[in-house]
Amino acid sequence: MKASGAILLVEDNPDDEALTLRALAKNNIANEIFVARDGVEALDYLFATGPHEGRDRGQLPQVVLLDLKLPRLDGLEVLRRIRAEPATRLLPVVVLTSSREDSDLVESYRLGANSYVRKPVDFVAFVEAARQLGLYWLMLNELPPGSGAA
Amino acid sequence: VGLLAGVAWLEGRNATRSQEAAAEVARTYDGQARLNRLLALLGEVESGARGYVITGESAFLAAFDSGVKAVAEQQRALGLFFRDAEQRASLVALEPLIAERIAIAVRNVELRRVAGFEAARRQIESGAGRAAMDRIREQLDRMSARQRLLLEQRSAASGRETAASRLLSNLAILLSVALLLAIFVALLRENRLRRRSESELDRFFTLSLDLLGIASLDGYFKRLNPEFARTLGYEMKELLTRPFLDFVHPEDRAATLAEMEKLSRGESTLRFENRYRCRDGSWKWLSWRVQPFPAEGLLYATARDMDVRKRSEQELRAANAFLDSVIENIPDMVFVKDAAELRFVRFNRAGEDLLGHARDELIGRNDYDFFPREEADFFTAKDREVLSSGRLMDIPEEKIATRERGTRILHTKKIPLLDAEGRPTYLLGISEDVTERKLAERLHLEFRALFESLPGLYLVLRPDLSIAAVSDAYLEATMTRREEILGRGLFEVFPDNPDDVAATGVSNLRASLGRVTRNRVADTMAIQKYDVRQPDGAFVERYWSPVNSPVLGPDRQLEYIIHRVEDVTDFVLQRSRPDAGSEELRERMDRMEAEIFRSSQEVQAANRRLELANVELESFSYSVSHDLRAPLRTIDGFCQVLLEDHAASLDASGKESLGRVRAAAQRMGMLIDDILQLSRVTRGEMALQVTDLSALAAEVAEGLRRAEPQRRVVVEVEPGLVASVDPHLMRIVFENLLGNAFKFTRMQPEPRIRVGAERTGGKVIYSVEDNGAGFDMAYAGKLFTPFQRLHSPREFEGTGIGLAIVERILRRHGGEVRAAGAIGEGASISFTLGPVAAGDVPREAAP
Repeated sequence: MKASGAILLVEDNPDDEALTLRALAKNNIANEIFVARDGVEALDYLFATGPHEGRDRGQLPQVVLLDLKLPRLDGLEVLRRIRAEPATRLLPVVVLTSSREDSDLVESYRLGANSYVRKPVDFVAFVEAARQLGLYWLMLNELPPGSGAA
Repeated sequence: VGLLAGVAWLEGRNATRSQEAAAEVARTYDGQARLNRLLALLGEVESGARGYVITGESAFLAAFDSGVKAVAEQQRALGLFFRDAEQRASLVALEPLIAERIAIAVRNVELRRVAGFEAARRQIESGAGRAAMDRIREQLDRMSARQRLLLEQRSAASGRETAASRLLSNLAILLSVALLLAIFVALLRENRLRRRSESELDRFFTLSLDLLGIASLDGYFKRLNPEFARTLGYEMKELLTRPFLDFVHPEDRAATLAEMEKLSRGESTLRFENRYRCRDGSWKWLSWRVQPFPAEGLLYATARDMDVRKRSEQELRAANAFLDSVIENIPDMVFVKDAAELRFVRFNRAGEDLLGHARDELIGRNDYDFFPREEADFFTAKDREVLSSGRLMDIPEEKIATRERGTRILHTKKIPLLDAEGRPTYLLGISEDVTERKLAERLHLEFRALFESLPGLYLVLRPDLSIAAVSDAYLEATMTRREEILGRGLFEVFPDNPDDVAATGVSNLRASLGRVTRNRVADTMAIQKYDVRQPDGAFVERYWSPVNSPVLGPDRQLEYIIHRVEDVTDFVLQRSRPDAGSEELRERMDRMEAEIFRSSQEVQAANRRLELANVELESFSYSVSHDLRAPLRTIDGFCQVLLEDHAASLDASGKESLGRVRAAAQRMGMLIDDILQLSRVTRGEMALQVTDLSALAAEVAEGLRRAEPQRRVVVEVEPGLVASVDPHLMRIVFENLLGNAFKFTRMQPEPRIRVGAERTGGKVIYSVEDNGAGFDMAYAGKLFTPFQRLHSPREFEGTGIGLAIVERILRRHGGEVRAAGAIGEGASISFTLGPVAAGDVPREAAP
């Protein structure tokens, strides 16, 4: 597995997408960002299937930011499939969601999410959360051996 | 050999005989010669005498004298020579004739000397001399003839002799040739045999796994078997053409030379070890056994690759160690006894642990040294039985007295270990300590018996609704038998009455069991009409009041459902009894019965609706949590975008307006969160456990203090407050109460907060007090209503839901909450936790 340094953002709400991209940009996170609008597209991107056939499967994003409430295939199912596949078993996945339900939090960790971030209503607080995310997952976090450098 | 000796002897005798015959012939010739010689000598005497007579010269006299002497000599020799009697007689007859002749000759000589020549001449001319001489000749001729006859006779005898012996010797030679042929054939055969045995030896030589070789004392190998070359990895030629010392490890050469020295003296070598270099440069330890044959200058040697032996010894040791370790670590007692005296020869660790004796104490002893006589008799009898039958014996249960653990129950297998001839030599025993299991089985049986004799009607179901257990009373009420229904499905055993089209028993019971399975809480059903099938197949009318309760495992998974019913048929059917009292009473009972049945059916329906509502509420909460917050985030986020990216085109009032939009959006976000929490605390199950409330309050206070590190708030928590509560919910209570206390003491220069409890009349009243802003008691009742606030958001932020949440949680715990205070004098919230018994609290309706 090789990390491309890219970020995969799985988000169906265009407003949230714009705000998330802005929050990342405000923290000078310049990594390439690919946005998947639903769970199926996210998996197609990761496993280079469907419309993404031909993409280098070996090039995996450095981190996946995953919303839970998604059309077609929901976020928890996406997470389950990512963890079931040997190639992406160790891929860092941060659940980034509006949900304040405890059951979602518990289920996300149970399925192997690396972090769980609730998107606050306050955008300033969201920018701060994005900063910490970027700091941890893009700069400080040691990827598992064999996953390549960013 | 006898034949050859005989032939040799015959040949020898033959040779001697023919030699003798030849000597006899030669003698005969010799005899002839001697006779001739005598005649010649007589001639000399005659001519000597004549010469003197004629000449008178004395020289003739000398020849005459010596002739006379020689004749005498010859005569004597002939006398010795002849053995033939006739010849000897002839010789005797010859003597006077010779004497006469010599006397004539002497007279003639004398006459000459005395009377002169003329006298002598006359005398001679008388012819006496000649006549004597003639007679001699005649005699000699006769003797010669005799001699010739003898020669003939002897030659013929010798020829006969020779022919006989030649025949004999030819025969012997023929025999010898035959004998030699036989010997030759025997030798050929023996040679072939020897060659075959040599080739057999040669094959063994080639086959041997040992290294075999013949070396000469000059230090070269003469011959080696293929294994030799193979082991060391060389071509045979190389080994044979170089001094073998070349291959010996330099450190071993001196010892090898010393050994060679010994060998050259004729001493043999046993277990001499040295290292040989292999083709690949490695060294091999070889162990030698060498026998020298100094006469031939040869050494016959066998060597063994020690590594192979050492490795196989190691492998054997490792295999033994492995087996030992397996036996040692088998968690059951393993022992071995010798078949003769049944003494222990082997014991493993589990056995030591079980019996409480170290193996040193056990080995060499038998059962009578450790166990009571009766037990030992029992064990020994079984042992003997196993050994004599030669078959495994399984003893499901046997008691054994141990040193430290009392009497234990063992499940033992005894196995005879046989030798190659099939005779038992050892007895192997494997014993599992089943004491615990046996006790558990007994306990299990006891509990089952207890359960089955309960007076109530009980059925224990597995999650798949198969019947796990049933009480006797239940069997009696449903006219079933235990062995007929255990393990079968509930609805298979108890179907609806097919003749009752309105029967709902099965579907209602199925729904109730479904709720128990899903929610894992008890479900009480309304009175059900659920007809029972009699053994003859006909259904009888029955009314039941069922309760279904879950039995949860340690991980809160459903393990069983207890289905308890009461048979209320008699009660429901009272009216049909003839002795049920007056008509009026019966009518009233009819109505009551109908009422009870209807109302219980209504409760059942209401429960079902409530359940549906709860499910809807949950999905509603979820979408509120996710979907309602998303637009708020958009509003807030894009206001911030405007403020950041378009600040230049906004005036102060425009910026302020955007600030207000943002504040409102954020406030709504908080409201949503709080409403969700409010709904959450009334949903779901409570998990009561004994909780240290003092520690919980102190922990929450510490968190609040860290959030505002610049403030100095004195928080006092009374130690030792313990209650049976749901710790998660109770934390929310303290978060709200202490959060409020922190918030409302913000204006207070010396903020103080106290958490304590008072015991009055068996009740414990907990309180959280502060010296903050306080409130007007007139509005105290509104405090616990959602969204009711006694302060403006400008003074103190908040949604007005916190105390409502607190109130819900305390109510769920069976307690109450009250507020007391005055403006500017602080507030005191006090609460009780109520007598909540261990177990679930009844479900409540949503607000």
